Amino acid sequence: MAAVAARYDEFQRLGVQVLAISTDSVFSHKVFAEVSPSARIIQYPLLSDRSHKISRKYGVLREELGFTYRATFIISPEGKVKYVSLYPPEVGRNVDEIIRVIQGLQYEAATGLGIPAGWRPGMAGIQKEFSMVGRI
Amino acid sequence: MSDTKETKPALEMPPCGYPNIIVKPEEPAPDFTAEAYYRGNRVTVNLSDYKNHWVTLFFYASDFTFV
Repeated sequence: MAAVAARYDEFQRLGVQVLAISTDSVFSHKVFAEVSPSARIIQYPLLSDRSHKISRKYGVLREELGFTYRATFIISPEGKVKYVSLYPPEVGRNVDEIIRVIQGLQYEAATGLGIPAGWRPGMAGIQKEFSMVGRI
Repeated sequence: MSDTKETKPALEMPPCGYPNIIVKPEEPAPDFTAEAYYRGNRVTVNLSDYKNHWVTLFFYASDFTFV
């Protein structure tokens, strides 16, 4: 979670609430946040899913191991899941891409425009008119 | 115990009744309540408290791991 913690100010600027969750206990979370050099900078809640109910609800629990995939969900203000990713356990997340997707979703929500591949803030969106089909 | 028949445990279904199928885009985010550690305190977090906000929910395997 250190990569997310290092970019927390950007999530805040975008008005995005960050929640991190694992199947560890709150006791473990406390000590983790206090002693781990990479976790000490975490400024968002560390949720405990000790019963595995939430992880199972979201479909990311590895039943045989008792912990979850490295999964990310972006949830809209209406409470709808907009983005899901599952990373290989061996590889950490690309926080740049998660922030880019949030920016794209927020841009779409504000303008109604489509977001092309590789879009970055400042780039144009795409008109989603039927007349444009086949012309892009 | 010698006359106890060895039986295989029945295939267990997830105990709380949710199928372990990942939630997909455009589906409602399942609500939950969880205990959490937040800035030195033990708190309760409800996802529904974050309604009207964008939320990023990061599942991670374990505290104290390498990646």
